[in-house]
Amino acid sequence: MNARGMFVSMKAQKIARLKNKEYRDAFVGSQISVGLPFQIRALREERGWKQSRLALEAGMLQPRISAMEKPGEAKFNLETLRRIASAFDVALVVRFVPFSELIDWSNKFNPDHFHVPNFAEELEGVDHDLEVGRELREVVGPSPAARMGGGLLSPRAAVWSAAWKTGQEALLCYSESWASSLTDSLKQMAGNAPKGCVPKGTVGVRRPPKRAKKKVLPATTEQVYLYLRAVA
Amino acid sequence: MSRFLDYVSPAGTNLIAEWYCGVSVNARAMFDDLLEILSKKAEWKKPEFKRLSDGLGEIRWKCDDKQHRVIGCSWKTPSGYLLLIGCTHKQQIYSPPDALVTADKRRRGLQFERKGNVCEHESPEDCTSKE
Repeated sequence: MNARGMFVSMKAQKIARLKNKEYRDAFVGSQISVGLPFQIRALREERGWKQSRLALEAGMLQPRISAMEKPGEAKFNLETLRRIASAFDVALVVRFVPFSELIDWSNKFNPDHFHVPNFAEELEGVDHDLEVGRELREVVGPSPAARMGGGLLSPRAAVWSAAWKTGQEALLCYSESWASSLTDSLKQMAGNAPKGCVPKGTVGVRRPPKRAKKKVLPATTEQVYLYLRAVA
Repeated sequence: MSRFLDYVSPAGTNLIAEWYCGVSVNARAMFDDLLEILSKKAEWKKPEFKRLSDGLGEIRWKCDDKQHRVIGCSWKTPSGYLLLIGCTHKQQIYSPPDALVTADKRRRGLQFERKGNVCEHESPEDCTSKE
């Protein structure tokens, strides 16, 4: 059995086991007692911190951090998690979800590729994108919506109006690996993309074929999104 | 991606599936999660995995105030990992106490005497009748 086959088999087995209510409840618990230790360790190691540094940042003792990184060893409460989130300067989401969402999360979770940017990192990215967005706006000019008195457009309408204005074809595509980093709005935009868009893992604005030569604006998704938000 | 295999006795019983059905549902769910995470990890290390002597290793987790262990070894390919025995551990003592020796015997039996067999790892869906 190859890796893909094994993954499919594991997933099918998991779904079958979850039909049992008792197992379902245990599965929720195990996502906390097994999943969280891996998350905490991945975040700590990503920052190059030792347990003692995390302990210092979170106002805890190092042995407690050590216990929190062992599957099943620590009993987590919300206050503890809030302090850990604060130490890493990341947000914490606690909400009730359907099982499908939890399964999806557990299937996708890989501690080797678990990256949560802290607030400063996020801000850096937004500043950069805003700058590019302003440049784009200068090149392309205001959208028809903006000229008609502004007002917010749906993301899809904004894309099309921008495309109309620039005489370019908007192509929205995204790859799975990348979708996880998209905001909900971007996902919605990408989900509304027309059939036949080029699945290259990027969102971009492209010139349609057989049109007069115009400047092509290479842009990342965030840049396009921020531009659209700026002009809408 | 690692691939897990179960030890099957010469009588044809999957002893890992049997052990699995003998532990609590919480321990089962945690074990399933651990295997899933380990299968994705490039490097296995403490605290969830510990290398033992003679090429054996143990997957470790705590549930219901018990330290659970599943002892195994690499099998055939670098990504294959054979689960040999499930047990608990308290104050340096395994339960059953001969878990390490049994694991080693099972591995040697497979390697040199063609005793027993291996199969793809399976976490049985319904253990209620066996609990």
